[in-house]
Amino acid sequence: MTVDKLPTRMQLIAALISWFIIWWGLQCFVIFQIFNNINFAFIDASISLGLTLIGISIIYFVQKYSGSYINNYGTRFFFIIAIIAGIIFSERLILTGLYSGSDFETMFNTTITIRLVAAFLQITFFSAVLWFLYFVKVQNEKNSLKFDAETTLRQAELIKLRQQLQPHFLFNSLNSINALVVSEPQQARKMIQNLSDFLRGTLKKDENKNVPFSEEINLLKLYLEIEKVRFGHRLAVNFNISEDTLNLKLPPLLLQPIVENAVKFGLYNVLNQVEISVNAHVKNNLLAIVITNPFDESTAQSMKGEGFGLSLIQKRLHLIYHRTDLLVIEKNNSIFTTIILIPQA
Amino acid sequence: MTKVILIDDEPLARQIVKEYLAAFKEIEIVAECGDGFEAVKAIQQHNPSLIFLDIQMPKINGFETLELIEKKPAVIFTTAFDEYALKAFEQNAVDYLLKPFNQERFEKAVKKFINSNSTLEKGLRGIDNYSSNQQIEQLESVPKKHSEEAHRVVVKNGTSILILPTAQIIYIEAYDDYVKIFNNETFYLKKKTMSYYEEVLDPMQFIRVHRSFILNLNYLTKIEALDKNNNLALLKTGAKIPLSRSGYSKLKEILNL
Repeated sequence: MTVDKLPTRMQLIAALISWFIIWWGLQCFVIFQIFNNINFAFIDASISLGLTLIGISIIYFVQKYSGSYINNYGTRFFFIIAIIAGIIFSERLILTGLYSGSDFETMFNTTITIRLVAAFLQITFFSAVLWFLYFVKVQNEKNSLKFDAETTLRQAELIKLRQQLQPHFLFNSLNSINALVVSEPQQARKMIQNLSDFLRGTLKKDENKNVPFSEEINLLKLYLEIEKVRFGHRLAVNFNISEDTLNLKLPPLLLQPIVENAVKFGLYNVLNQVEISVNAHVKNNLLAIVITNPFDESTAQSMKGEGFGLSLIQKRLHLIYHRTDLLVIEKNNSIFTTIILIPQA
Repeated sequence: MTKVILIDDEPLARQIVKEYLAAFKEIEIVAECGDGFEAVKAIQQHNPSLIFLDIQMPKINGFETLELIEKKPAVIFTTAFDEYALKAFEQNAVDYLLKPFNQERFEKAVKKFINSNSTLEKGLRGIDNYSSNQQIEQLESVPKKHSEEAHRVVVKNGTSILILPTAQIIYIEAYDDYVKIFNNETFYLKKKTMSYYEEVLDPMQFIRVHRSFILNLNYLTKIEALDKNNNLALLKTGAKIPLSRSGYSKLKEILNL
């Protein structure tokens, strides 16, 4: 059970005050009907209301500071009985102090039923309300804890995914550099530079801070530059980025795994030349990024890892924007298209 | 001259092997291949005694490539994936080189091949383990099931190579040293054991119902009792498969009968 919208503090206080005013008026009326003394009715109702308020406060504080101890049926029942008895007893003590005489004693005894009923209704009602609020609070705490745990888990998954993908990329790139050192030292140097810039770009990113799109594009270009050296003529890359997207912001490293997937999927699923395209434009206050790679339908279903990275991205987008329609996948004419939509504030 | 073929989808990765191999005058590189299909063709044509094989390659991986070769040469795997090492040694690999590797480590691997080659009689190679147990123990154990093999089987159809998604396999029948893998139209021969497929394929979908049969549950239509101890499984294609007694009870258990 969750309660999303609790009334505001002011609304709650106003409701309580009106409740007690009505109750006080009612009690005045009843006592006045019996004794026909308005002065006495006011004082009597005020005292009993004051004592009731003290009783409710005691329940409130005991519940707040005793934790769950009071929250079993037996304890609570006896606690309520004790409070009611305390109210009646104190009422009698105060009133007899104010008005002495045997007349008054008999009068008090004739009204004791009414007094008991009034105290019982008030105390049980507020005890129930407080108990209910206590459960709501506990439940909400549990839920938020669960939510936190889930968020942490997702983040851990993302980090794990990134670590899973990168070592192979890193080792293969180093292997290429190893070959280039002798045959093309200048190219080797450039590759080392690209690799360093790329790694630096991925390492220092704070997950929760949005970055300019231009920065992410530069990172993608570095990554694809490295892959082009590794795979030579087989890999072609095509960027088509509209000018007005460059300053827009998006969560960091969101595109990187998609492009990595596209490259892997393209290279390992198709024999010939592989063209990866990255397009971006603005539409309806959304930054739309479209990434395509070729694929072969006949063997695609048996490729491992399809959609594995994508489902994590879906989850991440959901966590950030609370929407599930921001990642779209299309397959046609042996082209696999991934579309990412980033809402702009 | 020892004939060698290099198989790797990254040109620079082949280049480094070529460079390191220059130190061995008795070795001749007869072909370079960028994927498994080219490799199968080249190996058939040149009949090399050693291949350098990458694992992750387009369409079919290094292990699947190896499965398609009848007369297997000695293999040195070259890859950045250390998780396949155990499997590589199970395939009687001479060595397993983790990219990037240096010249010293590379030469050690080649010398291992040359030594084992000279001590064994030609043609007898491949049966003895080149790898020491110690080496295997050093490697982290890896799950035997690689998801690729659980989802597809690579088969040869004449000269062409076919990737068969496991969902299309109707049943598998033992056939001497081979198995026959049946799909809708025909069957393919593969030099593997029944227990290999029993282990690799999804056990909830592929059931070993008989010493000689594994069937795909998705194609099962009916179980027919011949007599008290003999049952037949009727498949959607009309094929009838005998059930052994244990196979019958296994099938009943999975179908919750």
